[in-house]
Amino acid sequence: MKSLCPLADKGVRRNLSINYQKRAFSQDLSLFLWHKIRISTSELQVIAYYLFLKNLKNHSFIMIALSNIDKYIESRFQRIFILKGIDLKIDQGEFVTLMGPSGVGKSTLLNIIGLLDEDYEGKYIFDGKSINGMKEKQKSALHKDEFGYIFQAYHLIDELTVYENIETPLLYRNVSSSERKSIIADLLDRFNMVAKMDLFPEQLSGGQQQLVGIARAIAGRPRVLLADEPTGNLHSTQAKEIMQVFKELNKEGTTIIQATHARENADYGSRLIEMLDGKIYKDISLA
Amino acid sequence: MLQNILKIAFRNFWKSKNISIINILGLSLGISICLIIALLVKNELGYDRHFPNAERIYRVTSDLVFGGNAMKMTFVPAPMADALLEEIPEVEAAVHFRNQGTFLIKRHEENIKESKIIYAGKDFLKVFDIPLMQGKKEGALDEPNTMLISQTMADKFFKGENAVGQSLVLDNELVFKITAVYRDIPENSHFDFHVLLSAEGLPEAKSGQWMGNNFQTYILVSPGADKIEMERKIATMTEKHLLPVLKQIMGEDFNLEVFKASGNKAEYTLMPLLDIHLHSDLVGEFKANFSITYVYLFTAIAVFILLIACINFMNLATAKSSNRAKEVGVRKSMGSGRSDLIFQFMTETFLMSIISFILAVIIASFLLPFFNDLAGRNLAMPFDSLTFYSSLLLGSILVGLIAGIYPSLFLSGFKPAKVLKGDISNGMKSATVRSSLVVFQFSISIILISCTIGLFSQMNFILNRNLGFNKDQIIMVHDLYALGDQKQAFKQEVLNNSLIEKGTLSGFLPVSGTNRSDMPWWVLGRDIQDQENFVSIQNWRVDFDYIETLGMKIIQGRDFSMDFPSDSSAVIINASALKKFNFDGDPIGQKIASFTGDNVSGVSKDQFKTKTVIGVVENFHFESLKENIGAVLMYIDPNPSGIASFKFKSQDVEEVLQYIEGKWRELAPGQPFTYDFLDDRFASMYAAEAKIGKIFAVFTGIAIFIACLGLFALAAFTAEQRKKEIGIRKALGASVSTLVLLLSKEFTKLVFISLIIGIPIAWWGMKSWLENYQYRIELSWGIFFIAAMMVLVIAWSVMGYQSLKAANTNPIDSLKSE
Repeated sequence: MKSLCPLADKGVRRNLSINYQKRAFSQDLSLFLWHKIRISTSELQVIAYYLFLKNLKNHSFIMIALSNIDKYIESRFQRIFILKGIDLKIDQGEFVTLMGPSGVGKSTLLNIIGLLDEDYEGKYIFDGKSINGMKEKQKSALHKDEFGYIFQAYHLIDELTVYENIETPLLYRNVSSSERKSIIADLLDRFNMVAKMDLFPEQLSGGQQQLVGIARAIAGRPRVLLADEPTGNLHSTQAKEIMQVFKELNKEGTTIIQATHARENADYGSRLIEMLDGKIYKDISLA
Repeated sequence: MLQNILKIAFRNFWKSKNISIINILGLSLGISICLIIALLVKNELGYDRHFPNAERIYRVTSDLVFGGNAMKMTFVPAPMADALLEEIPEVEAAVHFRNQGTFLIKRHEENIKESKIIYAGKDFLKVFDIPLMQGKKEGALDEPNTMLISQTMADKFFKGENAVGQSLVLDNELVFKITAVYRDIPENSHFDFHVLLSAEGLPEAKSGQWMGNNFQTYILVSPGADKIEMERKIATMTEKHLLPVLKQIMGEDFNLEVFKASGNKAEYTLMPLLDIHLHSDLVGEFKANFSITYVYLFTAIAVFILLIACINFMNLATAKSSNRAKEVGVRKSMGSGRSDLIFQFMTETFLMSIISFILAVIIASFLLPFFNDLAGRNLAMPFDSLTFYSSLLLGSILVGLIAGIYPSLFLSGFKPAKVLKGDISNGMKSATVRSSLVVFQFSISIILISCTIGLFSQMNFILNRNLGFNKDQIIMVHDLYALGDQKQAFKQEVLNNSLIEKGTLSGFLPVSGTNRSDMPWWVLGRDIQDQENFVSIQNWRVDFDYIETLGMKIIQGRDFSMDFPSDSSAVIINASALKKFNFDGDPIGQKIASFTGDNVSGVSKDQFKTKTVIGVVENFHFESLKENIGAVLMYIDPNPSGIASFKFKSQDVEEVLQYIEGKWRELAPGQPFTYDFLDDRFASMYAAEAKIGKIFAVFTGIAIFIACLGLFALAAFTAEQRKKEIGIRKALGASVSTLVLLLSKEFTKLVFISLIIGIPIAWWGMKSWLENYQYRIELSWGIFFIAAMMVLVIAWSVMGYQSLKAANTNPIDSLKSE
């Protein structure tokens, strides 16, 4: 459903200043046209380009490009490398699993991709733009628009209800009140949580908390979902449920990168990257 | 978004509500104290501003040095006012005042005693343009025996009548006609008399005598007049008038340069009206003024208390950071920028600040009556003033900024990748800042405590010092003139009671507010052309029982005695005077001389009076202990008046009072009986200091209380954060006492650092304050030791409670959650 064409997608967004709702509809062009009645010539050009690119079969675009990423801690006598010489390209629409034992650097890599960690060396290009030397404001905008995060410990805000937790990212995106209501209603419906929307995190089971975590992460319709051991604290039934949700989200067009040390989780994805000692050890396509 | 922030703020507040409430109450209490001090300071700074043209009114003050006696007074010569008006072009109007103390006032029969009464020159209303309720401004005080009265006075005597044109009788004999009624002068004025008598009928006002300084003089100057320039002109003017007078006394060869060179001076300067209340403490003030030092002192205390309260707030906010770290991480991962988070935390703080301000206004309204009582003020919360509300709003923003800026910068700086992993070592980093803030709080507490102790020891020292006379169990009966020629009879009647040991009649007593008279004397036979030989000395008129009644000690010679008829020309001097006269050989029997005459008629150079020294008394304090003991000579007044002082032995004060009053009623029917006790009078000389001391002590207590609230909450948090550690240690066999020690160690260290910082500052502050006193306590380590022990005991009991609570919890409770 989601565009496979990052360039066009960007163009459309830039030129039409498409807000959240319009972006939701842009998945179906006819609806989009119906919704957006007045269209300028330049906008039409972009739409034509968009359609052209959309018809290109089996064509993928590089979304994330990391080259020669190093991260280390300065210890008293030597540098301890957490990541060393990572080169990684991830395309739009991929479902990547990072695997490896504890302390191998999976989370660190995930944090670097998700712009949560800026303390590293090497080049990082997202969507054709260099992250290195990007201004704080632009990074913050990328955060809001492109990334969703899911954590092993769920990290819901304890003082907020289920509803309010899902609402929070939308607040940072300045989504209007009525739109927020409809988006949250959809998500609660999708994850069967309608009855629980007024409960606080501590009143939910782990699996339910993680579902809220996912709902929160995708509420802002990010293009990339980053999940750090999303099932680490869950038992196997709940874990399977979560992975099923991931698979569906990926089908809908969301790029997913997850870190895990459970091999069975990788089966849901399209690509498996095994890490060892801060380096990429194996890169296997599962498609 | 704001709703989300408010929800989080409220729920966080509720989650740790005990500590939050402590925190907010501490802040409110601090703010309420600041509010009260702000009201006080505003009141003090606003003194006399209500007079129209206040900034163009000056008071002339004198700075005199004569015969080694320096005096700074509000009194200047009587003709000064007219001379200023005529000879200084900048002066638009001038008025002089003569205070003759209290008067009895009656309309028909009953006398009322009024102390707010003064003689005023005819141009009073030109200088002080106060609004009139009845009557005309023009010529209001031009005629002798006319008076202006205040609205209050008019209501007292002429309720519902027109007072103008009516008359009142003063001291049973003087009849004054009311020409106008003025609106009461506001309380925050150094000049707040209720009755103004025309000075036109006062002989000394018209005397043209430049040697005596008895009149307070105020001038209204033209806009833009230069003070320095005017003072220069006044100097030239006074020289012109004084020189002939001095020549008359000192002889024609009197030389002004020599006079000045030997350290004498007679300078007259100008003091702006608006400076009087806070910058003036001269002889002859209309009422006891405040001091700008106290304004600064109280402002400093207010700032300190507010800082202590804000620091509590900061400390708790950062101590709680581990609880908020996750939220910060999550929000950042959702794309919240640092500025969003700063906004969020600042909003929380502002919210707290606004709530605290609202509470503070309520608390302050409750505390204000007590404060008014304590400080002798009449402050009110200005609920009808718009500036009040806008300053409250401004204040809450300021407090929010002070209290919120550090925690919000600190909290918003968390790195999401770290805190989301559960790594909150960040929270530890703030411990250094937190510790320094605690040290700051306790340093202030120690300074305040030591200063309070020091202040009280000095007050105690003054009140219990050997004064050279006995101030206890002496009752003073005032206004003896009401007895007419029955004064001696009254004394004898009272002494008939066996409860009363001794009695004396004299207006001169060794407490302030009684008579003083300064005249130069010299040892007979010495050359009076030589300034060195003049001794400026207090001349006290006493009776035969004076020295015995007041318990003064004769150290040479003898007391006055009825058995020696020659004692009518005898004097007894004090030790200071003995030193100044510098007699050759034995002072007893030596003759001293002085000019005859007085301040009204002028002194005559040619006629001397001589007296013989018969005794020397030990020095006694008769002015504030801030001053050195001056020279005094006493001689017998054949017709003493003023005050009757009786020494009584009974513990039953009531009975003595009743007896004396009974005798008074017999001999002076219808005249009010006024009395007080010498020791009360003495204590009142230090009333200002005692009052400041009390206020200081209360504020110190509050400051320490707030600091302890903060420490209490902080200790609770530390114990909470180290719950797991305590659990493990307990599981490993640690005893409760070791755990309490472990938990208290950190804070104890901080308190000791505060001692090291606070004590030198307190020592320096006390030292400079004590320099105001000629007679003062030695600063001993005891003061600081007591202060240190107090702080330690308070801190330990607060921490001990929290530590005990933490150490006594079951280890399993804290460990199983992991």
